[in-house]
This record gives sequence, C-alpha cells and structure tokens, in this order.
Amino acid sequence: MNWWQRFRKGDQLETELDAELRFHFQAQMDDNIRNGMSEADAQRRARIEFGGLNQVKEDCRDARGTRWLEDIAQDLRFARRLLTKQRSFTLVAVIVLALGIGVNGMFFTLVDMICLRGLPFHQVDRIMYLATRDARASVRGMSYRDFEDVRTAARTFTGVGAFTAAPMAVGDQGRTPDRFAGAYVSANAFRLLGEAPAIGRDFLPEDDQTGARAVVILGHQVWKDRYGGDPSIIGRTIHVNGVPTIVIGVMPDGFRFPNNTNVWLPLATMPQLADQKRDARALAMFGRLADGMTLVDARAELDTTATRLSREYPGTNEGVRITIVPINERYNGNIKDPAWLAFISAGSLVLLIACANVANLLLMRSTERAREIALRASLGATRRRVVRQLLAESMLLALLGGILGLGLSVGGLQIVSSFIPQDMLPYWMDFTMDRRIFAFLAAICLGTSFVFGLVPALHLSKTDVNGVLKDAGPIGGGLRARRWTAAFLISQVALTLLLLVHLAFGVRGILAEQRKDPAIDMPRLLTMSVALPNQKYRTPEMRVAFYGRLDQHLRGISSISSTTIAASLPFGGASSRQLLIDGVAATPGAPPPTVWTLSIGNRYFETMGLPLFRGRGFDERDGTAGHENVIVNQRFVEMYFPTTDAIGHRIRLRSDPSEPMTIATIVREAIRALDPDLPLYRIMTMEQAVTESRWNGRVSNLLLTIITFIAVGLSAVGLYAIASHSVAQRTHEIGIRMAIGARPWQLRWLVLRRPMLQLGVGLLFGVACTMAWERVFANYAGPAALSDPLNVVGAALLLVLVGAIACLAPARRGTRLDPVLALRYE
Amino acid sequence: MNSLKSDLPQGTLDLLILQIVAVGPIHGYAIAQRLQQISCDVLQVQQGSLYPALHRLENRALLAAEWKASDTGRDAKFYRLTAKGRAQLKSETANWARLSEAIRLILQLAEGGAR
Repeated sequence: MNWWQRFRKGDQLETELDAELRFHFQAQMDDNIRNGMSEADAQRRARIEFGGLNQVKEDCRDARGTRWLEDIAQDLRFARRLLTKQRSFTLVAVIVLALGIGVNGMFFTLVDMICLRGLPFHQVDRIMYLATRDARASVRGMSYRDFEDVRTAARTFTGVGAFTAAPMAVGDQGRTPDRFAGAYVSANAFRLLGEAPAIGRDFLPEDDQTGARAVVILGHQVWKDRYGGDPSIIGRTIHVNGVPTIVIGVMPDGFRFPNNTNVWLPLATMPQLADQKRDARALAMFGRLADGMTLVDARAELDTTATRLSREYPGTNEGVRITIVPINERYNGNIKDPAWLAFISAGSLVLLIACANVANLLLMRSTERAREIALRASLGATRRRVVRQLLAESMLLALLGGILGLGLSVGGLQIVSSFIPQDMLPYWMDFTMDRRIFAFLAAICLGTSFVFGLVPALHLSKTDVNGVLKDAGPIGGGLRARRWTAAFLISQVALTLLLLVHLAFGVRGILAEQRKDPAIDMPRLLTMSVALPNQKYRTPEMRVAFYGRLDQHLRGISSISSTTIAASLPFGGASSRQLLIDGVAATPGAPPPTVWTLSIGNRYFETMGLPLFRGRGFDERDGTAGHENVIVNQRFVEMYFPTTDAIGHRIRLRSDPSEPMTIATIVREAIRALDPDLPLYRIMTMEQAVTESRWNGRVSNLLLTIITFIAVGLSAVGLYAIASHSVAQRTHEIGIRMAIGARPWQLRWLVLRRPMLQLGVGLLFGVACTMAWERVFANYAGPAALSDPLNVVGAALLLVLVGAIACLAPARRGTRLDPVLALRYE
Repeated sequence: MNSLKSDLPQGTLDLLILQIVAVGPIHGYAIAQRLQQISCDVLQVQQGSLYPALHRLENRALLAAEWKASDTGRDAKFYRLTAKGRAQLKSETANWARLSEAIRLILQLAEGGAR
C-alpha cells in the first residue's frame, strides 16, 4: 500500500488498528488472570504495561505517513462546510474569481494558439523560412531563378522547397466548378514538412517539370465534400484551372499548409513561371536543416549564395540578402507586439482586481472570524496551522472559481471565434484548449489563492487571543484590516479607471472612423469575387472579353440596378505603381514616386454612388489601345498638379518591379488589364494577418469591452462590500446616533463616507496611472490622446455612478435600522 | 535507515522485530512476549512503541499482515516477513554484526590503552 492508498483506506485502517490493540490488551489481561490476578487487577496491570492507548494510536497514525494529507483533507472539509454555510459570500467570491480566471484562460488560449503553438509538423524547429531583403530593406519572397540557385547550392539543408498560394478552380464534366484555396508547391515540399498523402502518392521530381503530365493532390476536405470520400479518385482526371489533371493523392485530414490550402499543384505548372525574371520575388521558400547543422551554418551558406548571386546578376540582385528564420517565427503572431502585450497586461490587471476583491471580502469576514481563530489558537493551533487552514479555504474558492472560469473562457472563446471570419486564421490555429492551457489555469488558480488568501490569512492569524476572547464587545476588524481593504479598493478603482479610459479611447477611435464618410452607399451593394485562372485566360484580351460578357449578362437582370467590376473591393487593397508625369523631369537618383492604383470597370463610381468631381467617367472605349485614360482623386491633384488643371495631362504608370509577381505579371501587359483575383488579395492578407497580428479591429475591441465591463462590475462588488461592511460594523453606532436623533442623511453619509472617500482616492490614482501608462506606451495614434479629458472624466463619472448604485442598498439598510435592535446588536 | 549513527535505537527495535517475525507468522502480542522472553527482561521494550514500529515496517513492505484466528480463537493481526523484509533482515544483521564487532574492537583497544 502506498501513502495514497493508506490515505484512501483511512477508515478501514482505523478499525483494524483499534481491533489489533484491543486484541493485545485482551490477551495481556487473559495472561494476567491466568497468573492469578483478579479481573480488576488484571485490567489495571495491562493498562499500566501498555501505556496510553490513545497515545499509541496517535503514534501508529503518524507511522502511516499520511498525516499531512489528513490535515489538508480536514482543512478542506472544514472550508467546504464554511463556504456552504455562507452562501452569498461564496457565490460573490467565486463569480469574481471566475471572471478573473476566465478572462485569463481565454487570453492565454488566444496567445497560445496564435503566438506560441506553432505549426503542427515533425521537428518544426528544424524547418526554416527563407526570404529576401533588398537594398531598400523591404522584405520580399524568392524569385524562381534565385530559388533554383539556392536549392542547387544548399548543403546545410536536407532539402529546400518553395510554394506560392493561388486560388484554384476545380471542375468535372457536367458539374459546377468550385473554387478552392490552392498552392503551387515544389515536389519535395510535403516530404520536407514531414507529411505525406493519406492515400495515393506524393509529388515526384518528374511531376515538377514543365511539360510533365498534369497532376494534382487534393485536400481531405475537397475529397470528402466534392468527391464523397471516394478512394477511386486516385488516377481520375479532373479539371484544375481548366486543365485536365490526374489526381495522384489526397492529403490527410488536418493538413492545409500553407494557406488553408485544399488543392496542390506542382510548382513547375505555375503559368509563366519559367519566363519569370530574377526579380519577380513572389515565392515563399523553406528548408529543413540537415542533421548537425544549425541556423548559423545555414545563414552563413545563404550569405555566400546571396553574395555570389548579386555578383553574377548585379542588375537584379544587387544588395539582395537572403534572410532565414525558423518557420514558426514567420507564421506565429509576435507576442511582443504591443497589441498582445496590452491584452496580456489587461488580463493580468483584471485578475489582480479580482484577487483584490476577494481579499477584501475575506478581510471583511475576518471580523466575524476573529473569535473562532482566537479559540483555535487558544486550543493549541499554531500560527502556521491557522494560516494553512485559511489558505485551504482560499484554495477551495479558487478551485471553484477556476472551474467556473474555465467554462467562461470556453464561452468567451466561442464568442471571439464567431467574430473571426472563417478561414481567416491559418488552419492550425484552432480555438481549443490543450494540456498547457489547463496547466496554466491550474497555476493561476493556485497562484491567485495565495495572492488573495495570504494577506487575510496572515492578518487573521495574528489575532490577539486574549483581547478577542475576553472582549465581549464588537470586534473591530482592526485598523490593520481596514487599511488593507482600503489599499485594495483604491488600487482596484485606479486600475478600473485605467481600463475604462482605454475603452473610451478605443470606442472613440471607432466612432471617429465611422464618422469618416465612406462615401459609398454600402447597404445596397452586394459584392462577389471571381478568379480567372491564368491557364485558361492566358491573355488580358481573353479576360477583358470574359468580363465584358459577364457585365452584359448582369445588366440583363432587372433586380440589379447597376454593376461594375474592379480589381478589388473598396478598402480591399490596391496595387502600387511608379508614377511618371510627362513634362515633369524625374528627380535624378531618387526612385519615382509610387501611387496606389485600382483597375476598375465601367460605371464603377456610378455603382458606388460617387459623383465625379470634374471630368467624365470611363466608357466602353477607355482602356483600349489609344484610349489609355485614368481617373485620379483630389489628393493626387493636390500632390502633383497643385497649380495646373490635371485633366488632359499625360502620366505614365509603371509597375513597381518589387511588386509581387502575381499582380505584376497581370498588370505588366496593359494598364487597364483587370486583375479579378480578389481572393488572391484576401489570401495574401490572411497570410500577413498571422504575422502582423491584425487584432486591432472588432476582436480587440470586443476583448477590451469584455474585460472593462468585468472590471467595472468587480469595482461595484468591491464598493458594495465595503459599504455593507461599514453598515455591519457601525450598527451599534448607528443605533446610538438614531437614538439621539440623527437625521437619515447623516446616517447615510456615515455609511457612505468610507466607500466614497476610497472611490475618490482611487480615481485620483487612476488618473495618475493613465498618465503614466501613456508615457510608457507612447505609441497611441488616434483622434485624441489616451488621457483626453473627455475620456478620463467620462470614465470617472461612470465609476462614480456605478459606485453610488452599489452603495445604495447598504446605505438604505443603514438608515432603516431599528434603533432598539441596533443598540442590542453585537 | 542506512545511516548507522543516527537511527540505531529505532533500527535496533526494527531488527529485533524482523528477527522474531522471521520464524513465522505472529501477532503483535506474541511479538511483545517473545521480545521480553528473549531479552530476559534486559531490554525494556515499551509496548506502546512496538505497534508504531510494526506499522512502519508494514508500510515499508518489509512485513505483510493478515487477519487470522489466534490460539484463543479471537481474530488477530498476524505479521510475516516479505521477501523484501527478509533481504532487509539479512543486511541489517550483517550491519549489526559489523558494527558490534567494530565497537568491540574499539573497546578492546581502549582497554589495552588503559592497561
């Protein structure tokens, strides 16, 4: 039996112990009688020889080695009894803790899934992400030619692969085609990641060559949804981007690398890949470090390769360096991002506030418990024992709070996830809690129980035994307790004010954003995206023809009042071009200025409900050869034609050579060539969203709102507790005052004085905190400063209001006491 | 338990108990009787300290226990030696022999010195 079993079987052991000792005693007595003693003598004699029965039992119990556990169990049993007896206290404390713990559980899950967990691959820390940084220090991907050179030169990697994302149209005879997120990958990509198709085969090097038979690997989801999970799909010919293609494999469920991808084609089948220039840097590249090689070795090798390339191809590779980072660093959110830091600190603040609150509740209760503790102490409980018992209560509270908090964080995560569009996050970031999160929650439960429990416990264990037991009068929780509660409440109010100011700042930012007239008649606009695969629509003319037909079609539908086509949705992105103005000499040495351009169809502004300021809109002829026209905005005019009339001027737009290839190849041909690949933009945004932690929108405001309201609620609880306590402590005094004729408002003031004073001091501290915070994290950009008077005053007023409401009930209770009862109250 | 210096008194009682139990299954009262008999009342074993020692040995799996009817017909807890207990008894006995031999030698030397 180990100690745990012995502990579990304590009752049985106890019975056995009793029986064993009883047997001994009986046997001894029998022997004594046999030796001629009278029964009374025999018994007496046996007792003397045996010694104190209870002492022996105690020694035997000690020998079990489970004493500490029994003590804890006893503490917990007692704590449970106490907590069930004081239900309202327990309820408030548990809810308060659950809020604090729940918020942190939720935040930690988010941080874990976005910043820490990383990609789900075998030995993922050996997989490196390669990119380039050009002379202007802007970060780019890899060009196909550079990729080939790096791959040939690679010695520190077991292999180097590349991929690029592109939407793919999958069609079969006689069925509507579907569009999926797809990727062109080098043949070794899956092997390097340590993955393989669940059925069928992986890409082979011969698949990844121009002119090879077209093959495709499908994702599990496509296979299930479109092909009903039919294993005979392998070897079947389907249409991918309009090209008959043989399905050679299906990836396992849960593999959708890189961009929630569902369809993979060999890299070499990417249109125009072979013609691409060395500075068309749009491929993503990665490699797995060879055994025994380190990041430093790989970096040295890549530096050598980059130097060689820039020597051999100075035109394109001058000053271009190859960068290398572990792939997780590339895809994980950066935990040092100010947004994350703000969330983590806000979560911790809420937890601290919750702890302070519960500590306050416990301290208030200490008044009532002083006598009990004094009794324990006088019966021989050591201070340590008393503290331990009080901590057991705290731990039980924290445990209950933790369980409820776990539920709250699960619910909170569900709300947050419903705010995030599907497929917005990479597939490996899912809102699940793993063992690490449970460990974290357990740790904060334990931690908080010490944080909020220790001060009250230490305070209470210092109870003056004599004083309390002798004194029959009301037991003051003592100045010490009151000082602690005051400190807790003041800091809590200060922190809440800080959060409220943040929320006000955020909300005003959003409102200001909304007030900016989007100038578009949004509610009646419907948007749709379509992507024309390069394989099928090889030339810009084919694309334009397609859109022309589409446009005509749509115009025939009577329920649509106006249609237009654009390269991307409003606020959905644009492409940058270099601007040259005829008759204006370019500044020598400096690169020409860049402007954001958007390719649009006819009736774009009409459909958007935007009247033109001057000139005319596009018509059918615009964009065709000899009619290269452009529409500019007022800002453009202010910047480049401040004095002359811009209309009729000639400008040249050149595609920026550093622009990603997918856009560049399309725009290169003709200015007015439409880029219909809206999903392409979205996919790229999504990819960037991961690294840039774009959580500053609705989600971050949602989180901020949640925690701020929790903090306000907690402050209300704190003030309520103080006011109630104030009434309870002063009942006697109130009775006397009533008896000698105090007016209700005087009594009310008596009760409210303390909470209101503390609220006021807390607000002052909060303002100071806000100022300090703004100084430290001085990266706020918005319509007004964080400590804008309106923010601060508004937040303070709200807190005062909430505080007043919280104190209302206790204050009324104070004035409605029956003086006779109050005087007798003790 | 391996340290000979500090645990001697307790270790001694444990050793004696193991030795007595080694003969065959035996209950606590009988162990107490045997202890008294063997030591011819030279060793005063507090009966109170016998049971904690027995339980300690049982918890360390050196002894196993089982409830059986005794000679008088009453149920008693009988202890017997486990394999681990037997090994422990052997090494403890050897230890004890070494220790007592060493002490004997030291005492002899001291005697010789005094002479």
